[in-house]
Amino acid sequence: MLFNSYSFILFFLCVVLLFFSLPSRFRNILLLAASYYFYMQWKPEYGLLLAFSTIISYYTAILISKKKFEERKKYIVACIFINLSILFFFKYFNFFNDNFRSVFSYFQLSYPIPNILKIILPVGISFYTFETISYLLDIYYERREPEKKIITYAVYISFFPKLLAGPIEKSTNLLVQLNTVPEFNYERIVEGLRRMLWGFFKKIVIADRLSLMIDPVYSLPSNYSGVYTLITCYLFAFQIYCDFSGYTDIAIGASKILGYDIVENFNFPFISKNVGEFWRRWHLSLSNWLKDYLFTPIIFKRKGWKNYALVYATFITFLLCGLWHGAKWTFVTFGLLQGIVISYELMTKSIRKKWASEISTKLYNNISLVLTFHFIVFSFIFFRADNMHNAFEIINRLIHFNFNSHILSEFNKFGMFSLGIVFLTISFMHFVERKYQPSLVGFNNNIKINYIFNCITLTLLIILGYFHPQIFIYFNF
Amino acid sequence: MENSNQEKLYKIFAKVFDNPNLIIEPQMTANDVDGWDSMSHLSLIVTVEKEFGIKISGAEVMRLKNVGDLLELINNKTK
Repeated sequence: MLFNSYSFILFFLCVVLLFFSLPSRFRNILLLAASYYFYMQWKPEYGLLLAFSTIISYYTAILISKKKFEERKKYIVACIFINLSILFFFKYFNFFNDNFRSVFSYFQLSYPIPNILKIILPVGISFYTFETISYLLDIYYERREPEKKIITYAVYISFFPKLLAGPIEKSTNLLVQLNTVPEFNYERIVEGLRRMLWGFFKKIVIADRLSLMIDPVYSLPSNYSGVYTLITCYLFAFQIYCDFSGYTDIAIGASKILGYDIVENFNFPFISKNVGEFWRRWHLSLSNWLKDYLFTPIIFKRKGWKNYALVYATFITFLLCGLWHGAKWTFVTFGLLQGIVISYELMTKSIRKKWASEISTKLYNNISLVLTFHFIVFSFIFFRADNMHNAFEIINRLIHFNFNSHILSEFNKFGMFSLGIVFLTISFMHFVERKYQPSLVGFNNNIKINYIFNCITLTLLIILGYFHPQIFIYFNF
Repeated sequence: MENSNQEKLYKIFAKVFDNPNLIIEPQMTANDVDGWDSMSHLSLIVTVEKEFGIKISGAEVMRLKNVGDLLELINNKTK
């Protein structure tokens, strides 16, 4: 069941009506039933995996909280190992198996392990596995007490607005709220609806329209010129932003209507002045997870290495960040590119500060912003391409950029009307988000402005929307 | 002893964050101090180990919730 489908709207309406009509003690049971119903629409068997992961992490947390700190390690390691093994099996088994087979055949050795046919990645597994791990580590590091009620904990893991593609919720936020009783609040509902409308606009009007232009180029890059490919690379940055942040807006809005505040995932990523800053503005919940549960433990394990510990931790973190997105060399390359540039930024922090003071700081910041944006656009080639061959083909098109080609006729190939719509809608989105912040989109004390704003968004959605439900890109991760 | 540890720790903070006027309170966290990022956190812990002549494990660092926890850890290790 996709957010951008009529069946989801009907489902959500029923959940909201039941939620506020039921006595408070039944609300978490309703949310749990609704979340599993929502999840099992994809493939019913995978509901069992979700339940298994929930049950073992719930009981492990209770068990380790009763042990002394020194005795906890073996239990937490075992539980995390089980959770990661499930993730590994479904997401990475064939990838590593193929690569081992290639290495063996290179040395002309026989390799007996066949690939497992027809592994379908359980949607949302990367997101909920990371949530169970963060909960277990929070208990391990004594940051919180284990949740006593299994229903409440199960809702925290499976809460349907964020189950399929995050934000990756920390137990110190959503789980705490699930122990409270949200009251029916008209203003919150209006605010939530507005946020959902904004998410639908970004997904259906901008991202899905852009996908019609971008997908053919990535399918057959050799058919397109350098100019055309270059425009596509820029457009993809906006497609992925609108697709993922649009999904997040709908998730945040839906949670808000039910009375819960889940975390923000974006904070104007394309105004970042360095790549480190980009990752503090892009997919925040994943970046924070990686920082808290991977990067920081690694640097303190290797603190004797001083600044080299940071470089080492950066590489490991971004290698895994790349792999988290999928079992492909393109994602590994995407992660490694981030690791290389962020390591450079870490090692040159003081010298760059000096450069900024030598030339004007404003000029330095503007140059940094442009360079960062172009690096991100470049690294997204690996993020989007289906395989390495495809990515290099795209880069090859860019290298053999023909300045003599008729740029206007290349623009024409996209269709001037489509490009015009894309330009106008992206500008409208940028204007609104910069003025009101994503978290307060369209939220203004002036009721007239609110009304006009919502009417414009809704009109654009109806007139320009591409109403052939497309899957959200992050559902593949 | 505990007071002198506190004074010494706050001097380390001023040195690491290169700000002699930095005001530090036990309940403060990384979110309350400008520039308290991964790099300065690593530098802070390494300097604390050196100045107090103690060893702090990775797991101990991960359990610290605020400045007060760090001070308590130092007090326990220098007893």
